[in-house]
Amino acid sequence: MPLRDLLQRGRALLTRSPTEDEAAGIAVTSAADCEAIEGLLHETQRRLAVADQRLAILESSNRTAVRAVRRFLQDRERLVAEREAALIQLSIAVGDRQRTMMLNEHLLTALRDSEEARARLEDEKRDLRQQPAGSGTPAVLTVEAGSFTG
Amino acid sequence: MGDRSVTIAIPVHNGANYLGEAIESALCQGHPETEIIIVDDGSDDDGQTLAVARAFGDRIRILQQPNEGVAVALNTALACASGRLFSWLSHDDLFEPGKTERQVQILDTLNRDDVCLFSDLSWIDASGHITGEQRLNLAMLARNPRLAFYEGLINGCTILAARDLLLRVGGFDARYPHTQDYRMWWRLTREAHFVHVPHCLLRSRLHPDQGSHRHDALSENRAFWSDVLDETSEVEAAMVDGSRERFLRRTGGFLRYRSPNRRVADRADLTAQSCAAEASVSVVIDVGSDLEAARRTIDSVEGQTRLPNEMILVGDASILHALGRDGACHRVLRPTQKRQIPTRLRYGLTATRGGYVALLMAPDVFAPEKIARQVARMSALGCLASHSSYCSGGETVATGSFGGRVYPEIVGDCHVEISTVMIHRILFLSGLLFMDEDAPLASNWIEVAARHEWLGLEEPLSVIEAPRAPEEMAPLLTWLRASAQHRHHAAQMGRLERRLAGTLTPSTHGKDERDAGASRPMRALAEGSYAAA
Repeated sequence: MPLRDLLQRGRALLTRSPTEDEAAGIAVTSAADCEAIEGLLHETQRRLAVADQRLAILESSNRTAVRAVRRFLQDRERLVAEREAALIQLSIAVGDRQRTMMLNEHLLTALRDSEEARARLEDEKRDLRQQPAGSGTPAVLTVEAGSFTG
Repeated sequence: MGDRSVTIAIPVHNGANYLGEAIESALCQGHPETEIIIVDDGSDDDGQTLAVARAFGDRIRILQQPNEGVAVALNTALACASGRLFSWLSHDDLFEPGKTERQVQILDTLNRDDVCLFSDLSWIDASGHITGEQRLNLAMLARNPRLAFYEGLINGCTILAARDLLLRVGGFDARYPHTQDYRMWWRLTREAHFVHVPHCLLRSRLHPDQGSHRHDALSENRAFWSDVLDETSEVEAAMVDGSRERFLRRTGGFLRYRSPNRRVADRADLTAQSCAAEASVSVVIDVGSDLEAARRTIDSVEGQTRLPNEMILVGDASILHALGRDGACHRVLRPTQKRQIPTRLRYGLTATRGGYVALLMAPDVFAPEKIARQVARMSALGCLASHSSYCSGGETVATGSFGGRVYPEIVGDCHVEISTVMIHRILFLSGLLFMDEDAPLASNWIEVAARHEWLGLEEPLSVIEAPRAPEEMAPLLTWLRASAQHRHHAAQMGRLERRLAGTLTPSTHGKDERDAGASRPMRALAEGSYAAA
């Protein structure tokens, strides 16, 4: 390279302005460098494609996962609602059984009371029958007469 | 309004500070058929409260009355409401959006007019910030719905119920300005169902101006819980906690630690101490066919260290007549010609008044401590069914170690002897015992075990002439095979089959005792009962 050109290149390097041959588009990169750059570009593109593919797979599986999670959540909500409904039904059934117990209690109390009343009446009836025929009759007649005339 | 119509009643007295928010939250309910009634309970704040209400125009109805308290205001709303369903909102609380729709949907599904819904809630402070939540145990309340009332878990502003139901139980009692709501829930607990909705549907405001913190409110609250302790029957207490003693202890704990009622709590604890001694006891005695044996049986009851309140004697009229009504304790005679033991026992049980009922078949007899000990244990533990070890042929048969959750083991090894059994009467009232006259006695004990714990007392408290359990194995197996509920317990059924075969051919006893499914105590029980047999 002539000295003038060398000085020009040196100035260009210092001032960052292109040299005349650079400005004219004259290739200054060696073929080896070019090949290396091409190789680098190819490799970068290949790795980018792989990354894109992985991203697509991940996105796809993520969508699947999101769908699955959503479905699980829906199922869970349905199951929770079913459990709530079942427990509410259980609550009603237990309540019904308890009210039946109380009803049975009232019925049995009424039954016992009426049986006791019947037993008392039967005792009184037996006592009356056991009394001598002449002793109890006039009083009964008096009461009956009183109730009709009064 | 149609069948899904709802009235939201907001009683208010001098409540201009929060009323607007409350009305807004009621208006935000998406349920289309909603009527909102504001009952101004004689506000004397120069018209501020009314002004807030009137600002909502014709979207709400405003009723006015002299200041007579919340109960009268709510009754006014009940009387004037047009909705089939009724809910109540305090002027300082807020409904969560969707409360009404959710509850109406549940009532629609249940399609019953004897249900009152209540829900969880969140607490807010005076400025409306959420400070906490009250979330109740849905499963626990489903299995024991009355606990909601007895544990003070029902907030009136979370309810939704048929208006007719509230009117049917008499509306709100105006004599109790501070406990009118809980007195209403008490009646509803007896007449209807409280059903818990496990979602926070209300924001309940805690602020210093609340009337419930005043002295007169606290004293009315004490009077209310005293009434609850006094007027809850033995049967009701047993439904909730298994016994009156347990009921009083749990209620005492609630009153002591979760309400300002320590004096009532002390009274509950004191009453609980004497519960077992004061519990009423009946003894149902099948007098059998031997008059002298029946006399010995009755003597053993009349010789108890703690006499029962009554004896129900069931059997042939001639024997009952010979036994007579006179004795150390009240006797009720129930003559019957029926031969089946379940029928005779059922007939006797219908005559009982006691909370606890001991069963006894002549010629068996009770040990003198039997009633005192068995009642004391059942009362303390809240157990509804118990049995004990017994003596037979001069030996002790240690069946009393058989207790707790014994289902389904009891299917294969039922060692409960009738003359050792004491039940709480609610077991009979629930229709669980002696309803099938042809079923073996053991089937009744299995039915009980499927639903409740059996309490086993290890001390021998009865003397049994001839144990019935071994004789019952064959009919029990037949009954189990026909039972849809129990027959799928194949291992236990197999054990019963082998035991039955063992009784027929003694050489098979060893195989039975080596049964992999039988626990060590069960094998001991089996050996005991064979020894007795």
